[in-house]
Amino acid sequence: MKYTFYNIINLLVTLFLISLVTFFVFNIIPGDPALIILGPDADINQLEILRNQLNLDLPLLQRYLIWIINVFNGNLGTSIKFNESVSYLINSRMKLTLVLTLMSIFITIIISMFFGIIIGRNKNNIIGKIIEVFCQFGLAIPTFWLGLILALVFGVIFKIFPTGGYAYSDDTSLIKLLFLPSLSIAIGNSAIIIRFLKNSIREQFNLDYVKVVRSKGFSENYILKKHILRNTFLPVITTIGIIIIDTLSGSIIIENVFSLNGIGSLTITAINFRDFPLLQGILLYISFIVVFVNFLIDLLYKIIDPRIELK
Amino acid sequence: MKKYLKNFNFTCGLIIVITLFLMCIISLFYIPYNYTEMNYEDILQSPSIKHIFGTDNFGRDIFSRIMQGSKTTFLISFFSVLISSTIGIFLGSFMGYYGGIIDKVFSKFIDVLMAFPSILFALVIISVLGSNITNTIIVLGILSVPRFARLTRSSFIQGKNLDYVKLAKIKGVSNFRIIFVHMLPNFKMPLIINASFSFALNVLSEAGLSYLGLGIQPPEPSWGRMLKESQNYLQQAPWYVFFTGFIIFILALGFNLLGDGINDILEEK
Repeated sequence: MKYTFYNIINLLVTLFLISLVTFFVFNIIPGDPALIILGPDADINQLEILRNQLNLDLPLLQRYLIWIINVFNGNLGTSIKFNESVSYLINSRMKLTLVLTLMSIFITIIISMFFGIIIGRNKNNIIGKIIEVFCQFGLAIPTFWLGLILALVFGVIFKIFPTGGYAYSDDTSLIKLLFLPSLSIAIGNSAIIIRFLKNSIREQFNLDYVKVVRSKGFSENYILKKHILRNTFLPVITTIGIIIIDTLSGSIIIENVFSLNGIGSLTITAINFRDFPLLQGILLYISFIVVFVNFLIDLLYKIIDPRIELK
Repeated sequence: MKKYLKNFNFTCGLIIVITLFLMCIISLFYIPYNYTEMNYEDILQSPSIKHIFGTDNFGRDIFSRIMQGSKTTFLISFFSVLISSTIGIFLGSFMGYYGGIIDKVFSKFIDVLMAFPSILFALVIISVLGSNITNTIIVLGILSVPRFARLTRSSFIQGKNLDYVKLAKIKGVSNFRIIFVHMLPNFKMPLIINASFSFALNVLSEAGLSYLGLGIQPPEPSWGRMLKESQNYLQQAPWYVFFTGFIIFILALGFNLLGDGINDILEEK
C-alpha cells in the first residue's frame, strides 16, 4: 500500500517536471518565437496573429499555467502547419506507431527468450560464443541501416514484404507492412535483453539454491528450466521500460526509412515546418506514455515479486 | 598491457578504432578524390580499383566522402563524450558523496531526463537551437550525462564509508580533495568503460540525427546524411547503402568491443 502510494506521488511529480521541461525547452531561445517560427521574411500582421495565438505577450509563468490547464482539458494547441488541433493530429497518427511499437516489443520478447535459453544452456561453448558475437552486432548496428538492408533483401530482391508506403487496406496488410520495420527495431533491443539474460543466468548458477538442487542429483537441464529461468525472467520486466523508450525512439527513425505515416514522420514534418506547438504536443504525449508504462511496470513488479520494499 | 591484448574483444575493438582513427587523421592531409567534385561521367559506378567503394549519384567518390565524414563523426562523438563525462562525473560524485537533498533533487532531474526518448529530445532541442556541429555536440553531451552521473553516484555511495575516506576526513582533508584526489581515481575504470560505450552510442545518434536531416548541413559530408541520400538508389546502387552504413556500424562495434574487453579483464581480476 505504501509502495503504491509512493509510486503514485512519484508519478505525479515526474509528470509535473516533464511538463515543465517540455514547456520551457521551447522558450530557451533568445528572441521572438513567432519570428523564429515564421522566418525573417514574415509579414508583420501574420507575426501579430501568431503572437496572439501563442499568448506571447503574457509573462512566461502565466503562459505555462494557461498551457498546462489546456493540456488537462485535452487541448494541446493548434498546429501551425496543418491548422488543426494537435491532439487530433497525434491521435490520427498514433495507431500506426502503436502497432509498430507493440509488434517490435513482441518480436523482441520472442527472439530474446529463444536465444536467452540457448545461451543459458551453452554457456562456454561455440554456440554461446556465436550468439555473443551476434549480440555485439545487434548493439552496434544502426536501426536505419538495418532497415534499409532488410528492405533490400526481403523487399527488393525476394519481394516478400512491402518496403514501405502509406497504403494498407486492412489489418493483415498493416502487419505485413510493419513487419520489416519492427524487426529492424527489435534486433538491437533483443541484443540488450539477451546479454542481460546471459549475465543473470550466469549469476544464478553460482547461487546456493542451485548448488542444493544440483546436489540432490537433478540434471542441469532440469535446474535451468524449473529454477533458473523462472528467476532470471523476472528482472527482465524491469528492462521493458527501457526497451519501450528505445522502441519509440527507434520508430521515429524507422518510420522515415519505410516512409510510414506515424508519429515519427509527423515529428519530422513538425521540425521541418518549425511547427513548435505540434512538436511540443508530441514530446509531451510520448514522454507521458513512457512515464505511465514505467509506473505500471513498477506496480506489476510488486505484484509478481512481493518482496520489493521501499528503501 | 599484455593481459589486455590477450583479450579478444579488446584487441578487435582497439584495431577497429585505431584503423578508423588513422583514416580520420590521414583525411586531414590527403583524400583520394575531391569529396565535393561532381563527375557526371562516373555516376553510380560500382566498386572498382579506381573507386573502391564506388561512386554516388553525382559521381563523387564514396570512399573519399566517408573519409571526410569521419572527421565530423570523431569530432562530435569525442566532444560530446567529454561534455557528458565532465558534467556527469561532477554531478554524480557530489550526489553520491553528499547524499541528502542534493542527491534527491538531481536524481529526480535525471529520471525526468531519461523519460524522454533520446532521439526525440535531441530532435526537439536541435530544431529549437538550430542544426550545426556545436548544437549537436551539446545535445548528445546532455543526453549521456545521466548514465555517467548514475555510475559515479553509485561508486561514491559504496566508497564513501570506506576506512581511507573516514581517515582522510578525520585528518581534516577538504571534501573537494577527498572527492577528486582520493576517491575518483579509484573509480576510473567503470567510467572509462562507460565512455567507450557512450562513444559508440554517440556515433549512432549522430548518424541518426544527420540521417533525419538535423546534423551538419551540406556540402560537408556526414555518414548519416550520405545514408539518407543513398536510400533513393537502393536498387541501382546497393553498395552505396552498404558501405555507408557499414562504416557507422563498424565504428560503433569497435567502441563497444573496447568497452566490453576492458570489462571482461576487470571481471577476471
